[in-house]
Amino acid sequence: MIVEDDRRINELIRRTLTMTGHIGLPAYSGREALAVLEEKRIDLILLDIGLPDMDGFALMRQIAREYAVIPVICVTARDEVPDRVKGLRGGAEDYIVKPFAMEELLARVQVVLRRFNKEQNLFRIRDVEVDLAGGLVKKEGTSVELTNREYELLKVLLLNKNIALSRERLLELAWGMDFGGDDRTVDVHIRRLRQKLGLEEEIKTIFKYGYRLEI
Amino acid sequence: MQLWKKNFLVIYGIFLAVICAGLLVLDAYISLNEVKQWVDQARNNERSIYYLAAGLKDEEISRMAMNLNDAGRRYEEAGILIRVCVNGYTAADYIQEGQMTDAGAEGSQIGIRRVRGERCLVILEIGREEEDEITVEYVHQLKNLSQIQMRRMWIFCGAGLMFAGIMGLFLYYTMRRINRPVNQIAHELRTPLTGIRGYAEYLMMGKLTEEERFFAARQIVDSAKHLENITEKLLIMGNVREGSIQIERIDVRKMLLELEEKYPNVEVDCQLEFLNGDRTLVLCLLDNLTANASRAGSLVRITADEEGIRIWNDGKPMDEELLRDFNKGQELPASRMGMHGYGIQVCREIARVHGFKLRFRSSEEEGTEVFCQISNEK
Repeated sequence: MIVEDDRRINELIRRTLTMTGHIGLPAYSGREALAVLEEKRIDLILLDIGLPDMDGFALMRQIAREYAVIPVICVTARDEVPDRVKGLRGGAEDYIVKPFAMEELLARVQVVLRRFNKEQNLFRIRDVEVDLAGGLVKKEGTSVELTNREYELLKVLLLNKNIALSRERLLELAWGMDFGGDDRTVDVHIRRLRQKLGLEEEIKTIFKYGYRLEI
Repeated sequence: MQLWKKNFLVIYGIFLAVICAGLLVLDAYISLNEVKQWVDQARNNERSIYYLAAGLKDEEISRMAMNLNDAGRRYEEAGILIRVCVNGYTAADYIQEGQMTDAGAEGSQIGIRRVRGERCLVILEIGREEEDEITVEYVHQLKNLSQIQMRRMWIFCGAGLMFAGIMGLFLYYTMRRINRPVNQIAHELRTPLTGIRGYAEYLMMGKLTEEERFFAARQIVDSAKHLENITEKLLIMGNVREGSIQIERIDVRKMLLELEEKYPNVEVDCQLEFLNGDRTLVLCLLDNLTANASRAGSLVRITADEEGIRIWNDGKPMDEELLRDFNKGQELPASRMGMHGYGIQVCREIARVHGFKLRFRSSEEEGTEVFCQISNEK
C-alpha cells in the first residue's frame, strides 16, 4: 500500500511497483490507509510522514499496534537526522528521502520484503522456472547448470524485471561494489544466460544503456 | 544544531557581554562620583562642627557642651557620630569608643575604619584657634551608601537582564523567521522534483505503451509547472523581504476589473478609487485571494471601499483550526499548507509590507470572507 497525499507521486510509485510485479494500493490520507488495512491483506506500507489528516508517526504507531507484522518504509521530504531517527525508532524498516531514485525505492522495497519473507521466490518465464529460495533453475523440467555469477545476474534481472538496468548497475548488483570488471563482462554473461535458457527475446538490450528482462 | 541557532547563540552571547560590560562601567562611574560627593559632604559637615566648636570655645563650658550636644544628637539621627574635645575637655561624645585615629600633628586625617563593627568613614581634625586646641572626630557609617549602591546594582542587573531577554527574544524570532521558510521551501520543492525525476526514470526504465508514455510526460510537465509556480512566488517573497517595493497610486477599479475578467464567477463592486502600494504585489495578493475564493465557491463577490477590500465566496466554511491559524498570523505547518497554503503565506507577507491586515471569517450561513484592511496613509 502506498500512503501519500500527493496524487502524482502516489501514482508514480504505484506504476513503478506494478512494473516489477507488485500490486500497489493507493491511499491519500491516514484515514484511507486505515480503511484499506481493514479490508485488504497488505505486505508492505510505503508511508509519507506529512499527511494532511494525521501525523505519519502516529499512524505508524497505530499500525504497529494493530497490525504487528506489516513492515513500513517511510517516504518523506524531511531529511533531518532527528526525523530519520524518530521514524526508525517508531518502527519503520527503512527511510527514503524525497527526491529519490525509483531504483533505490525498488531496492529498498525488495530488501524489506526479503527480510519478511514476502518476496516472490518462484518465477516462470515461458518454459524456464526459477526458484530463488532453493537456487534452482529449470528449463523444460530439467535443471540447468549456471555458474555463480550467471545465477546472480539472473536473480538481479528477475528481481528488477521490466526495468532497464544500466551495465554499471548490473555490475554493482551482481558482482558487488568492488569488482573491477568492465561493461564487457556483463555483455559476456548476458550472452551466456540467453544461450543457456533460451531467453533471447526476453532479455532485451537497451541501446547504449544496459538490459531489461521483460516478463 | 542548526546553523542559525548557533549564529543566534554567538550573537546573543556577544550582545550579553556588551550589555554587562556597559552596565558595569556605568555603575562604576556613578558609584565613584557618589563616593566623591559623599566624602565632600562629610568634609563640609566636619568643618561646620569644627567652626561651631571654635565659635563656642569662649562661652561657658556648660553652654558650649549643650550646643555641641544638640548638634551631636541631630547628626546621630542622620547616622553620623561626632566627638568634640576642646583643650582636652570632651564637650560632646557620641562615639563612646577610644580615639579612632592616631592623634598626631595638627591638621586633618581621613580614613575608613571599623567602628562598632561597621565600616565607617572617619575624619579626625586637630586644630588650634588662638590658644585653644580643638579636636573633632567625625564618624559616618558607610552602611547607607553601600545599601544605595547595592540597590542600584540590583536594579541595573534586573534592567539589563530584562533588556537582554527582550532583545534576545526579538532576535530569536527574527532569525527564525528568516531561516525557517528556507527549510519549508526546500521541502516544498522536493515534491515536484520527485515527480519530475521519478517519471523521467519511469520513461527511461520501463517498457511502456503510448498512453503510459504520454501520461508520464504530462506528469513531468505538470510537476515542472508546479515548480515554476513555487519559484515565482519565492521571487516575489524575496523582493518583499529585501524591501525593494515601489509604492505608487494604484487604480483599484482597473485592477478589480482585470480580476473580474480572469475569473468568470466574480462580481465586483468598487467604491474605492486609489490605493497606495506596489502594483505587482497588490495584484498578486488580490489574485491569490480571488483564486482561492473562486476555487472554494461558485460565486465570489469583491467589494472595495475606504476601509478595505472584501473578498467573499459562498463555498463551504473553512476548517475552524485552519481559520484560527490564518488569523493568528502563525506560520502554517507544512502538512496543513497543502496546495494554496503557500499562497496564503505570500499574501500575508505582501500585506505585511504594505501595512495591510488580513482577516478571515467563515461560517455556514454567511460564507467565507477575507477582509483586507488597507491603510492609505502609508
